[in-house]
Amino acid sequence: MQPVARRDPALFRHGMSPASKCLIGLSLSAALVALDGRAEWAAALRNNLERGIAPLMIALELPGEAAREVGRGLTTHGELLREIARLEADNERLRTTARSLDILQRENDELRTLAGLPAERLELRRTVQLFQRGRGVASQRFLIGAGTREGIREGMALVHPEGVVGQVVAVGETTADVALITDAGQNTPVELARTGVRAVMVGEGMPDRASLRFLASNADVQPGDLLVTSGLDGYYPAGMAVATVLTVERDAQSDFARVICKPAASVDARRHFAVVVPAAPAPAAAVAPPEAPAKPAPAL
Amino acid sequence: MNTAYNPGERRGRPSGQLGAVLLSVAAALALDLVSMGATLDALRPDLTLLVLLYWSTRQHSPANVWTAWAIGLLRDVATLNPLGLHAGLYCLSAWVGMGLRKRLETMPLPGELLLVFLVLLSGSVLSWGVGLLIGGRPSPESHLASPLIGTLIWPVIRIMLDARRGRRSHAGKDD
Repeated sequence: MQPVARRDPALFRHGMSPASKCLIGLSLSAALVALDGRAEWAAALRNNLERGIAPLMIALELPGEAAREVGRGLTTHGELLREIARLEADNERLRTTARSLDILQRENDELRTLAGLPAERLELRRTVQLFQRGRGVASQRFLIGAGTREGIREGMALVHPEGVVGQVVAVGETTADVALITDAGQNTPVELARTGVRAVMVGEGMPDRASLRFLASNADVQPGDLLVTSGLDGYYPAGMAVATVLTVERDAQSDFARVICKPAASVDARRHFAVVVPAAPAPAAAVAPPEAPAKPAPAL
Repeated sequence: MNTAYNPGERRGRPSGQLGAVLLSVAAALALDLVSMGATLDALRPDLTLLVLLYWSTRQHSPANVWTAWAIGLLRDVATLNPLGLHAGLYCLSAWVGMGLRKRLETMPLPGELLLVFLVLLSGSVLSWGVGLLIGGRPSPESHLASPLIGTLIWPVIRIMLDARRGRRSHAGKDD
């Protein structure tokens, strides 16, 4: 038996037990989960850590980029010539379409001016590259390699030629988190292109699937209908393709129809997206000043 | 005889083990971050958790609850998950692994696989629950498949890391 004088108190000899450490770790984790996205310091912590591991993520992108470059380098001369011919044909077609769109846009602006409505324009901010895809509960989110330094702001919409992809939900200095329109709880105001009926599309956290909320059970909607952005939220520009209706279930017990849709834009094979914002609505007077109102006649 | 003070050696730790832990965890995290498409990503096991579990079940390993928590936090940031989700899961798994150290030494492989499966499954269930809480409809199939695949590759991870540990301890003895 050791003499009493040489025996250290247990508190100093062992320090904290693994169980206590685990309990503290779990409490810290629970607090972080609860406050993430709500507290500013949690956003700052995420941004700083993201900046710290960005080199690792860039390094992980390199093998894939190199493989793609090698794949491109293996293209034959004949394939290149065919690709150039196809792109030239596309370019001609798009220029013709753009010309007619310009005319339509001018006519639209004039009509809006006559009606006293602000002009609506789409502003392309920049093209961004996908950096890292989310996993697990964040599988419908991704990180893009552009942040406040490049003019990216919270709420901006990401699109590509097939349609709307998602929305910027958090921005760091050099990176930004994007929630896809299929992300759990992500709401997108839409309207049916065929009938103009408005609804809200809600993501379910699953790829290639979302549902429509608040659509009356007797609403005119059928499989194959195209959904476009209604532009009511002020974030997504109006009239962009969002999804196609897959199934419609009407239940006599419910006032609302259950509508499942498939997003128009598939992001699996894409790496580049355009960030767009609806241009700040110019007052009607700025588009074309209306005639000055007639001065009231002086009272006699 | 080298009489220089070496705290790792005093506690019975091979001095180079910290490097092995960091290297293997970094490699696992890097592999986890490489995307294989939405479908495969949902099915693939959490390699970082498996490697952390391995190190926490080994005697004299420098991996502990705090290391696991910090690595979990990094994974949360890198995979855009809510901050603290993997930190809590890894910290809990490391604690369970440390508690099983003695038992695992005498346990046959099927028992070990069952324990690994339960640890991975609890992590998957936690992730599924959080998915439900934030308004999603996570598929239960992928949350069951991922721990199963993880359990199947556990022996491979164990053999690879055991071999690395073996080389380290031999190198230590030669010195």
